Amino acid sequence: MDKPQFIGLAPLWPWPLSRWHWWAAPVRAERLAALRIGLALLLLIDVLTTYLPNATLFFGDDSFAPPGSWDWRRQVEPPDHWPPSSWNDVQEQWNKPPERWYWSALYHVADHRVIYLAVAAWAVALVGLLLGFCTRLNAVVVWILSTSFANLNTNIDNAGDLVRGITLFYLMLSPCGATWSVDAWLRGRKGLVVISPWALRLLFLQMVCIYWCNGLHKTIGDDWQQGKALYFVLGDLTLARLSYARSPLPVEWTYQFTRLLSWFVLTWEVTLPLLLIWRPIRRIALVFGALFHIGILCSMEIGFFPAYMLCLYLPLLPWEYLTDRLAKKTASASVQPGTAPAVDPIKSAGRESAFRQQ
Amino acid sequence: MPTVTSVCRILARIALTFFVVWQVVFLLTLNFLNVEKPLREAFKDWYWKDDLHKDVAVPEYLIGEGPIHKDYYEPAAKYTKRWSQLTGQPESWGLFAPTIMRVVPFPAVELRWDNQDWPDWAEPPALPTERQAAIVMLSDNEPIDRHCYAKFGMFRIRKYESEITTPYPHTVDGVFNPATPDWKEKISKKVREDPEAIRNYLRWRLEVWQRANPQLPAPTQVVLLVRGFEVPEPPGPQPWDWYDLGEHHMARWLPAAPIDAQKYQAVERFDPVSARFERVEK
Repeated sequence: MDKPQFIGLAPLWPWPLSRWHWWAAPVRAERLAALRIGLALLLLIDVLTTYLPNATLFFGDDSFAPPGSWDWRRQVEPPDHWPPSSWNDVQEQWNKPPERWYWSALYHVADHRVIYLAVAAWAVALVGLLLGFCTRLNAVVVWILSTSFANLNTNIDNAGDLVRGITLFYLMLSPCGATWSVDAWLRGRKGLVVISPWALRLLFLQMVCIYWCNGLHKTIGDDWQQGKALYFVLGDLTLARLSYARSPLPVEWTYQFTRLLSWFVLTWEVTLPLLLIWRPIRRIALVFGALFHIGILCSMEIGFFPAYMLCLYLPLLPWEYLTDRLAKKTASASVQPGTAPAVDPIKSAGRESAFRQQ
Repeated sequence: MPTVTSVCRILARIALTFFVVWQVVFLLTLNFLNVEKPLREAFKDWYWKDDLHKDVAVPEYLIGEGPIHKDYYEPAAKYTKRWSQLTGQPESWGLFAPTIMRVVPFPAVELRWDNQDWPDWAEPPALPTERQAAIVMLSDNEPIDRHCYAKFGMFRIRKYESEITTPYPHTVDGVFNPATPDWKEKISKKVREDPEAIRNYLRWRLEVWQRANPQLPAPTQVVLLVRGFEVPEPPGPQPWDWYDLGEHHMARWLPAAPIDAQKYQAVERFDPVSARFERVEK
């Protein structure tokens, strides 16, 4: 009987948290791997299509954010003593910490060659993360470069880039290369691989916070209360993918449709924490969430925001069935005619009972 | 006997436990603090609207004062914000909320080869021998035909452009009068906040234009314009259209007359009341 391999660390939960299945029971590593692959692929496309062609326009000398320009003064208050040369320096810094703690490894970088080099390193590390090769190292490099570029010029980023940074932060700390990776293949890892679910649970909590805070902010907006919000959003010439004036429906019908949609979105966001409590409703609520982002993707040009948000849904899909089916196929193919069928390693490992997923 | 590895592993697990607990606390606290203030203020405005409950004193909590704010919220905000900045987790979620822009501004750049409205502080410009008519370059993000377009890409440049353009006030039936103190203040605020960002944008547009037109002389003035389109009150007119609020001056950069960067902002602001550009002291 194959014993599931546990990869990474698990928190030492005290009772009663240790008995809380959702927080404590190991989950199949495919879910985190799917998130890693999805995010790395998306960010790679982002880097190659939006950062690389405009690298010297966005960063470095004579760019939108040249070194020593607004970004450093407004976003960062550099420490008085860095690196600290004595214990007194450390104490003084501790007692009088800077007001803002943003940072970037690329501050003061003016040379366009260095900027291109950093973008190239970012892309290479992303390929490593995508393939799961030296996963931890590449995840750290990707997170450092992603945060560094984001803090260099915040005028070109939107909420999607924040979601990207947060997801990378968790990927960097979690065993996201446990399976579906070159690392796992090199280590000869076969059979069931499980991990502690803490990173997935924190990301889920993060996702709920995003929607709920969005919803609560919307409740105080007159446009949302009156159902006018999506009408104005879709009429925004800077954001709308297609012209509102080309709506095939009569003006009144189009407005009534956007009105219903505005109230629906508002209700969904505000009640989301309640909707997630009961499993059947939870699934419908999450499917609506995914459809909501697909709708945004089709109707608005707001960069990678909907795509990065959709990435957060990847760990909610039952990716382990893919692996299991593949394992079953391989097992049945290896059985010789006339011989007894091999024991199904997945069933024997007690998949259903041991690893109840979200 | 526990080995060094197993001791290290236990210590790492303890550290991970603290980290996960802290992350939960951090997420809940910072997100609560980010929505608490707008919700509290909205409740105060709603309950005491039009002096409806003027006989009821506003509790200090609702004004944002008192021990709860001072002893709990302020330190909590301080430490959670630092952690969010350090780890790149800024929790400030409010997509299209609470208010939504009704007037859509696009930047445009005007290139001029004259000395019209030339400032006293600068040397007279070297004018080209052949008279050049001023040209206006629209943003690549502005649809050529707003009634029929499909938009793909360039969202980062659009985001940057949204940071340097002045938000318009609401109008009545699309009639916008720029010669007002309100509009003047909006322009002043934007130029005061982002002078370098505006100059960097103007410089980039000029460079792109010069690369495409190397045979033409360099312009003497590069002016940032803002073009506004207002979404009408729903359901809107039949046939449906935006109100065109026109094209308005916002800021000016004089490439040939370097401004005293020690004393003044990188660009001049436009005063719509006197219809003149003026330097802005730092």
